[in-house]
Amino acid sequence: MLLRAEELTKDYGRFRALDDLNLTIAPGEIFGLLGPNGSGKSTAIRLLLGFLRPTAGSATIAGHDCWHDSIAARREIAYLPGELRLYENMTGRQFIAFLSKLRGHPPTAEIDELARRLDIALDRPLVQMSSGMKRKVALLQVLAAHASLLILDEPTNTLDPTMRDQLLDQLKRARERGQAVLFSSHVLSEVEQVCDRVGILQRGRLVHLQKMVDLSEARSIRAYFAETPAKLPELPGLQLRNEEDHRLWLEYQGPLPPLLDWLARQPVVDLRIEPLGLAPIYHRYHGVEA
Amino acid sequence: MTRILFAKLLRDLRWPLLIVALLLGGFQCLWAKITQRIVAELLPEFLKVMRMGDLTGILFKGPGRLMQTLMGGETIALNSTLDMLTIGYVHPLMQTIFCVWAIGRASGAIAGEIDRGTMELLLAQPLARSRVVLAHLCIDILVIPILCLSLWAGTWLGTFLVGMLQFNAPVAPFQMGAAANSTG
Repeated sequence: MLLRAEELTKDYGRFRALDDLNLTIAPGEIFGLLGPNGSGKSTAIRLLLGFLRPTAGSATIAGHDCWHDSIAARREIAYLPGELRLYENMTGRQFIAFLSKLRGHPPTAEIDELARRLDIALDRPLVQMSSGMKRKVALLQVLAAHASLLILDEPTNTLDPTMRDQLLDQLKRARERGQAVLFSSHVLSEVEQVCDRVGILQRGRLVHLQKMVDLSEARSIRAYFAETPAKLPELPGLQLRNEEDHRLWLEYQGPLPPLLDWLARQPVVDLRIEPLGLAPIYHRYHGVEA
Repeated sequence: MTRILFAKLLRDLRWPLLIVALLLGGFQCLWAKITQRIVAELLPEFLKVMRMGDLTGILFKGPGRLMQTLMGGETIALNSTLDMLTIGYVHPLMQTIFCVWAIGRASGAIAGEIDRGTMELLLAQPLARSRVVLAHLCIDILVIPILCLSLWAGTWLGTFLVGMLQFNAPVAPFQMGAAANSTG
């Protein structure tokens, strides 16, 4: 495993910001960290970067302890901060060159190729760039670093939809190159689009781990009946989420034909079947009902 | 890595450093002219009507003693070109510029980097924190002598322009000191 966190815990005084995080990320995997503000996402990222000393537990990246051997661990990481602040007195090219040299890899011609693909005017001073353009420059620096693990804290903030798609495309390319990606986000659709696995944090605890491939087989079924069925069929993976006024909201993970057979025998007035997606799972922990 | 950081910090500081060095050097250059005016033109006129000891007695009487202390103490000789030039180095304007520089550096170096939010990006690189501190220390070790050199360069340029070093003071310093002792 490229990243391994074991019982990683961080307290700020009496407040527990991260509680017993156990997590692994393999090379070539995109992992999404979900959770509202204050759920511990940034604390987890800061612990991995060696900015904070864990209260308990440990984390390693490529075998290097994130606190005791943080420089070696950070050599494996390229990081895009959530609240982006760049050196405004530099041009994009100078900024990339500075950070590349700090990593011990002087910039190559690949930078220009990436800049062209991301539509960045590298020779413009950063102070004259929009926040979205600055984010693209910072993203370019992350992609050019050729690190084993890319950590992106809410990377699509301030990006327009076209750029957001380009960024997600770049993450997929990074996965193809064997790089792992850990990124936090509030936007469920983009997490669904690229992630292999997703972790949901709630008040510092990792409350749910979801393989996206499993989710692609799960469906949300909303059916409106003339008369509510007396009982549901006994199909493995079928759950009743809600029932209200002859309307049933079901979640189902399994082969469709048996369920469709049962529905065909019921007085169905209206029916909607769609991929389950992350939203119902996320709202289970962070929605109004949570 | 420290070298790369050092080069970046020096690049960041180059304009403020140039401006402050020009200010300091310019003031010393001007002070050389002021010294020349005092020692070569004003003082001889005063000495036509009073003795050196009487003049220093008037100037450094009461609160003036504080000024005398700031200027270099009881051994300062107003008719000595070199003594007058040294006053330029302890002049309140010099002190103020150096204080502003020191406060600006102290607040702008590490704390400023944190305040601007760029420290997070910097520390995310495979870089020891001590390297960041070392780079800032190296900058100060380089920059402070540059500022001192700018003072000396200003004095040198000023004395070169006014030709003061060839000037013969009307009263030799030891004579003035003797006069001051006799009055005081």
